[in-house]
Amino acid sequence: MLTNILILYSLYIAFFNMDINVELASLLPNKIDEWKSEIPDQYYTPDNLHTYLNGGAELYNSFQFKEAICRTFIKDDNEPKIKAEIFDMAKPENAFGVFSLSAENRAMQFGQGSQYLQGSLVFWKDKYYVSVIADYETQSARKALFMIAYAIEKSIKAKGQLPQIITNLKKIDSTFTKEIYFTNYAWQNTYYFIADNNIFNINNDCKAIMAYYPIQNYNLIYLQIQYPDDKIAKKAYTAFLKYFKLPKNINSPYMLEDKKWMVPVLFENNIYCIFNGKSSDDIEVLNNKLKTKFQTIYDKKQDYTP
Amino acid sequence: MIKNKITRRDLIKKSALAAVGSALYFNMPKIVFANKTSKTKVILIRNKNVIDDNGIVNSNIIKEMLDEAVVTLTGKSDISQSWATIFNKNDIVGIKTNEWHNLHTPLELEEAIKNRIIETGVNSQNISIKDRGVLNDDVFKNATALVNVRPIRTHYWAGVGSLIKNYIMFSEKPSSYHPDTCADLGALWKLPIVEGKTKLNILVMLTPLFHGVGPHHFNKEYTWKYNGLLVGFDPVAVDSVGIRILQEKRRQYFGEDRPINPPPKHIFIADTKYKIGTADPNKIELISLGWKNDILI
Repeated sequence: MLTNILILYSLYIAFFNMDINVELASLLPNKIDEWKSEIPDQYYTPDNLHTYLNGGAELYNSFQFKEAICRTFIKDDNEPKIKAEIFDMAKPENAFGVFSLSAENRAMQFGQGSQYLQGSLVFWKDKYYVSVIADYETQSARKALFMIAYAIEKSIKAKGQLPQIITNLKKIDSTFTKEIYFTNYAWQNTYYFIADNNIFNINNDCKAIMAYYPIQNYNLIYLQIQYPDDKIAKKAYTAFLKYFKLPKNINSPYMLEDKKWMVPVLFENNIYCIFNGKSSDDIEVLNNKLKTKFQTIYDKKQDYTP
Repeated sequence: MIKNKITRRDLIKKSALAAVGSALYFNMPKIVFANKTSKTKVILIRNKNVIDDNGIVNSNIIKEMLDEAVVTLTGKSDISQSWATIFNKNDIVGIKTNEWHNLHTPLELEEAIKNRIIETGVNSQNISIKDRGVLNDDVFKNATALVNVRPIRTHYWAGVGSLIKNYIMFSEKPSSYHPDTCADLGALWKLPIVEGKTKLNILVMLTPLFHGVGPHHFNKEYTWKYNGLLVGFDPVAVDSVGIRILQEKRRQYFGEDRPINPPPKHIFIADTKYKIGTADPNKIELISLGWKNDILI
């Protein structure tokens, strides 16, 4: 009896995985001009992604990565190999998260945001993060790289929603740039060093955004973390104040030891901070712009979705 | 839990690690102890012509750079004496390299190291150069001496691929060192196959990767020709200098302070918790040789 159940279970898992494989494989072209796909495709899951990306796998796994396919295209001995990779990130917000942490200079050439650097093109669309990469770039490889990316983009029919926390910030003040979205504290220092440990208690239940707000000749750094409830947010806020040795009742810009100004704000289940101010006024001006609208948007916590 | 957290204030002041107690330099040759120097020496050597426009390493120049660095490091008057200070003919030597295809240890450098060790009298059969597979390699399993050599690069999860991190292949389960963005990589240096055996650390700074992009965290756009080697007995000190150069390059490239992220705290924790060496710039004597253009430190 137990053996039968195990066999049925194995068949179910095999069938289910085959479904995923077929779905991912169908998004890739088999041939582009004289470039043919090398058989077989490689598949990765959260359990074995590190065999392919080593420590890089942690980035994907921190965003609930589901499965990836890698197809290699070859032409001849004079041309590099081109690898096309599609990562199924389960949700569009996760795909955007990976993209936001990977792409320094973003364009809208492919999908819902892309970046091309010599020999490498990455983009996100719907729940997929896509990378097409050549060992090195030649004219022919560059053309093929773009055509592969175009074919993948075309085969992904749906478009995904940006993370709600970003949509909301656009409503509050859309002048920010280079936003990153994350749910793991490892990325909290991307634009500004805050701490080497998890002082905000950021985990998979949280949604976080860090972005630039350009001001005159430099950038203020905006960090917002949304928690599942007010209690958790307040606890994190208290811990943060203690770590930064800030007054408990802080309600105006404060100068840190690096002579930069910052302000932290706790509102219901959200914390936001503005860092890197060269003056108290710079922080104050942005904070005044954000504060009222922020409270309107986040009133009654209607925007938190697990 | 890590006992010795580095606070934001510590890193900004860049001096709080001066409070760290005297490090236990398990890995240093006796010559260093005899010198009773209060600072640990790190040699930075650069040569404008060590790589050509196609990225080809000049084997003669890199050999000269290595020799000059080792002579300066040991304080001896000639090349043979210098290498003989570090290795003896009975040694079994594992050269722990790094084979990451995007940015690997140059073969010319591996060869130069191997040849110099052979010249100290070590049997060539008692020398092995490896990255993956060290746990199954008889030379590494029986090694009396290790050379740790790898290029520096930014890393998705550990902040940087460092000398400290290069020993990850000595672990049966590398992913067990991933928690808290690889904070405890220093523990690798306490494994029996490693502890007390590292005689020389070389951080390759020919074309460092200062920023990562894409699933494989690599694009040539984020490398530059620095044309250097960092050489020392203390891996933590060498890494500490290396990350300061990377950080400065990021500042130059991005036009603003852009911290290496995740913070490469495993290097500082290798100092404060594992006592492998010193990360404190105040305790490092940086000796710079050769080409000085855009030295960044």
